[in-house]
Amino acid sequence: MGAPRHGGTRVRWLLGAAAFPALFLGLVLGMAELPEFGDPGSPASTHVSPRFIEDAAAETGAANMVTAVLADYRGYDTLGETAVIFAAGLGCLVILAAAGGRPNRPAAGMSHPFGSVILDAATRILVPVVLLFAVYVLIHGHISPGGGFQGGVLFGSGLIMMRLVWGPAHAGDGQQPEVPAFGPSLRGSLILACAGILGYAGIGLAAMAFGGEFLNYGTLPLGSDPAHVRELATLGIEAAVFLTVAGTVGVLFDTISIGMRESGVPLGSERGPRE
Amino acid sequence: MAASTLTEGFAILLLAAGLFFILAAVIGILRLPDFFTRLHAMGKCDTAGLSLSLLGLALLADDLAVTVKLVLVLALVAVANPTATHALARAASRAGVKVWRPDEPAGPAGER
Repeated sequence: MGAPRHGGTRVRWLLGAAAFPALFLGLVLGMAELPEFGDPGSPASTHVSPRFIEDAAAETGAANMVTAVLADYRGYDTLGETAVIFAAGLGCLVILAAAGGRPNRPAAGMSHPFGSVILDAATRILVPVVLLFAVYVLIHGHISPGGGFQGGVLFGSGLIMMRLVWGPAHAGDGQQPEVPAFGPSLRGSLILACAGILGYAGIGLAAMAFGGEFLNYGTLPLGSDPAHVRELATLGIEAAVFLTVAGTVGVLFDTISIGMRESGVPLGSERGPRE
Repeated sequence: MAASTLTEGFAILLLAAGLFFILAAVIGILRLPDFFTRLHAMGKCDTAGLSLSLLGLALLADDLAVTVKLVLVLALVAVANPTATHALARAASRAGVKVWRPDEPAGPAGER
């Protein structure tokens, strides 16, 4: 937007101005070469989709074909996606910690107890429902739309609701009073996220240990029916994704609320009247 | 047959009432002068409109499972919507958002 002020900025601005149209043009040309949306003659429609539609339920025991593809046939891709989410949480933590945020110190405003009886009562009613529904979405993902990602986000938002209303856990340090824990601390959220992604990779490695390929669950010693074994392993994968997403949502909320205080962004509760 | 027609008529009445409240909320958000009055319109009329609409749809649903789900959504909305309105109003009040007075000009300048 603004005019470049000195040499280095101008070079960078010009490079950016040149790179953006080139990238855009490349993407547009690439898009033009893709098969038409829903083209019945495209490779995806003639080879891949019929195979999944005909065999997925019998092979994986998952009535929801999307779950079968995401967590079983293409489990490697989903491991990558889960790692990306985990990396986003870690990146937020590292950047905001480098900017001066100190872990396990709550900010005022965004994570300070809100102190309202109405909110307190409503949260007591709503949070258990939200958390239960999150687990339902996770487990029911086998049959209906849902799964680890969606359930994890729901679970994480339940944790955020508790944080917003009751404040995070932290030890008193003289200036701030000790606040009891509701839900996992920042460290706890981080451990949840790590446990999720390690569990995902661990299930894949376990399949290797029992003689299969990485993330090929058929060989796991969980029963004699291969479809049932795959169903159980898929649930394990979904639970691992659930833990990673829920933990990352907690990490994101905590680091952002801490970073906001440390960066000097004015927070409402410090200016207005307080009860 | 007569009973189902009666149910349908009642459901349509509920839906119409619900749409009226939602329309009132929209007009309120567009026309009222400041944050708190807009919140007042949204909180009350949205809750009433959504509740009435959901009740009408629950009466119209063929499947009992759908009816139960709609009633559950209704219960959730009835708790969550007023609570969210309260939280917004409280946060705005704490952040020092000024309350509109009739003798001040409305609009962007009067909104702060």
